[in-house]
Amino acid sequence: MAKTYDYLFKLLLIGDSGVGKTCILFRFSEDAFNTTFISTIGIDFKIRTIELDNKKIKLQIWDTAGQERFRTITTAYYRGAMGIMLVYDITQEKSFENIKNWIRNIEENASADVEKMLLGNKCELHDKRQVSKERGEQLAIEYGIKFMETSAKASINVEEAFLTLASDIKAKTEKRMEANNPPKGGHQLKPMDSRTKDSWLSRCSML
Amino acid sequence: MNESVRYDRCHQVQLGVHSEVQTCAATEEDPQSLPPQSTGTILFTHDGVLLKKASAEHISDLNTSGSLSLVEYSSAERPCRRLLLEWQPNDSIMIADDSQDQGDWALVDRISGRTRTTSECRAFNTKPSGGGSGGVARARIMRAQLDDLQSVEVRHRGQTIRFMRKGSGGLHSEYFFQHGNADLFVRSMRDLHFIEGNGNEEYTILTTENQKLKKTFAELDIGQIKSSHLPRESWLPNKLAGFLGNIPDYVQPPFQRSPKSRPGSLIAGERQTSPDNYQIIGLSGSTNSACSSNGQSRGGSAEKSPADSELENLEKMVNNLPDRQRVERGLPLTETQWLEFQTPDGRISDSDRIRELVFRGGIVHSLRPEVWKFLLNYYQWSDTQVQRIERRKQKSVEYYNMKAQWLAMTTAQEANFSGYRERKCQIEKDVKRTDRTLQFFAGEDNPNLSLLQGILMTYVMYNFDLGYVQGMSDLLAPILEMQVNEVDAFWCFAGFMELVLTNFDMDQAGMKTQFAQLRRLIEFANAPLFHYMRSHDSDNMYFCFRWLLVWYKRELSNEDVLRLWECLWTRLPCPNFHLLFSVAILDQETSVIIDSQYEFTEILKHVNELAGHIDVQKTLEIAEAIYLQLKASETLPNDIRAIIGEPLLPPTASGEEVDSAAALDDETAYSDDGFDELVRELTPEEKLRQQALLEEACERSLFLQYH
Repeated sequence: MAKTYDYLFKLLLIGDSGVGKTCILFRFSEDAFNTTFISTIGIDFKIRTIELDNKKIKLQIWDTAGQERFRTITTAYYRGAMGIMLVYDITQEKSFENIKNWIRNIEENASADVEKMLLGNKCELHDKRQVSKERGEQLAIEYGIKFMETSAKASINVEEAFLTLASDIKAKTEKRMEANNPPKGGHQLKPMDSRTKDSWLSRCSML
Repeated sequence: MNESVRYDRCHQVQLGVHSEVQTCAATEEDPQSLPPQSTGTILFTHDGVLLKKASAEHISDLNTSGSLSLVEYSSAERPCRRLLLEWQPNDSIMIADDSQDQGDWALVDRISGRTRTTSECRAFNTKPSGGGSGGVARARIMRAQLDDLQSVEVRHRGQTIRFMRKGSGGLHSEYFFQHGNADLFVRSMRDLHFIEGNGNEEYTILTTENQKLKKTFAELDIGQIKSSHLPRESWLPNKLAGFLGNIPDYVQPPFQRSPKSRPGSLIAGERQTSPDNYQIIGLSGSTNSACSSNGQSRGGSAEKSPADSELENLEKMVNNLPDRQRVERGLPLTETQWLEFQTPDGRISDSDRIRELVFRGGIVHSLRPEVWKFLLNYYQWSDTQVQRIERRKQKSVEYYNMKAQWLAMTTAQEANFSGYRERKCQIEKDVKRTDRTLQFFAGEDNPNLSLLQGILMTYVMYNFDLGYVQGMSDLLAPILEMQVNEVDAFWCFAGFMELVLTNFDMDQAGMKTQFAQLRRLIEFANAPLFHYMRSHDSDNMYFCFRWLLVWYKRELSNEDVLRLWECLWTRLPCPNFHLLFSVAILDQETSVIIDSQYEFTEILKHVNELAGHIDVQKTLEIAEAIYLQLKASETLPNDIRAIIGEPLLPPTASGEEVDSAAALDDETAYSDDGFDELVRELTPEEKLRQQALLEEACERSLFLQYH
């Protein structure tokens, strides 16, 4: 059978209800936007295959319900994720404040070395902005992850964000494989000798 | 031919390896920790095998090349030998790039970042994991005791093999053979009688545990046993003898794959894809919960040998449900019929009959607003017309009182009341995106949106603990559209919420209970699908979440939603009929899911994409037909009886346990007075202010209703 892709990455979109997770996904997978979106109930995913450095990468992107009540269900899906998009709404201060809770959620439920990225969505709504770009950047630095402001509606940075995340995961995966294949010995990858929170988080931004 | 030559050479090498005796100390992370003094003999091994899928602790070794071996351990203390499947990474690293063509995970299957709670395990039918891994040190050797594995599957033209777990089922590990394929490995296992199969890519792993399967060598049909190049251990033929001796003719037919299994077939024997048949037959013995639970439902099997009772189980799986009868739907309840049920003073004379008619055929559209009020316990069937008017008036006051409470909330109060603020904020977000494609809610500044918002806000005051949870706006919208009047819509909605309250539990316990109940219903009513899902890690029923949370609202057209809901609101023919509706949908998808060999993600995708393609009438017919089958079944276990409201059977002499019934919510009459807890003493000033606000709220509501 013909080879369809070189890698398959599972990504997850999380963040407060109404920040635009489904719209971001819809923009990325269909390049479209719809104003009559419905809230997400349960969980769904979409697939898009991209190409990076001549490698075909199949992205399976999971979209979750944002309300806290459903976390007991949605966290079950964190486990297999290799990359997580943390999304807030730049016009909703609260959704930005809650990012720290989402980070904690990831720490508790996802794999420790999952690649993360912070997205401030709805950046086309300048008039309603409550969270400055600098604050977004600052938070991302704090967690040692990458950051972008996006607009699913105006199609700003959505593509770039996914490509960045995918490329970071790819780099990490390949690095891990190299590390697993030293000239001799073949001993396992040591994730981190001193596993403080910051060290493993900052590791995620390396490239 | 080239290949077979290479294999032969390969085999020689392995024979060489075979005699080598290693001492392998069990690692700490070995789930089946070996006795410390045990020694391992490699029976055969294959190099250049990539680990494709495995449990979390081996994540760093995924896609790493290594050697796959079968190792036999024995120790002084334990006379019984133990066979382990072992995979050990070596230095050559390769990235598989063309082995995945089924949309499976290439790199990560599952990461268990934390230990599940017992309740979760119960709900999701899994075993608690040994402990949250995440430790730095990881076992490099992956081991599995052969006895803990159920079956071997060969995929991708022989290049991939996967081992399936016993019991809870699911994938244990998957390997990709970089050089050549897995033929030799599988053949070696078969020659040593570790596995049994017809060469059709799926094999059952034979157990050593089941001592009762042992029979003497004399009973063997020696002709069926190929001579092996490798020395045979004495227990092997015994086991095989037991296997062949006890299951003479039954096993064979399922091996012969038929091109298609019959859609929705309830006959287990007709399922032709192999591992599941074994699970149905339950060769592996007592760990098979499905079989054992069914086995317990018929008394007197305690004395029989496991194989006998397993055969009996197979028989039961085939016979435990009577034939499915065709069920006909009826015509909707008409205005004329409805009037006939009304006494001169306005009472509804035969509410049971009306429920039956509504269940059978629904209600004509124009009559829906009226009859729904009864079905949703807003109006009482026994009330006279006068009493009804009085009740409505009283309910109206009650509603506006509650509405006034939130309308009176000042900015300062709101700022100091995070619980309220969060609920309000979530409602605002959802109202904007509820049924906006319907005419009734379309467009900007649609007054019906304010009504939707108002009712949900008032419900927050009515039941603050529950507050507002996503999905509730979906439940309210069709009711509002039908009732139009805010007060009527609120009380009908409150009645509906009584039926689905547990869907919105903080810990999702209600949803988990329903997953468990649904799983059990499918296990009994659609064994082929159940066993397929279980062996593909999909029996947690998560993919039914949206169906159950909002009663199929997202799956159906608006008209169909009204039709289904009014039918379900009658709570006929049995409690939890909404779960049987799920069983009926899946019944129609059984052959698609199994024939396409869907894994969990694909099942989820398929189920999500069924939205808009579900035939409500047909599905209701199937659901009812399945109900009638269950009801008529002579071997219906008590836990299923409890789910569908059948009287429980007393425990039998053989000690059948009455399964603790999952909580039934059907018989509890719902009350309308949950408002009490929110009432507090008001000062005279507040009362005046409340009164003014109440009037204002009434006016605004009227304004919104009629403009």
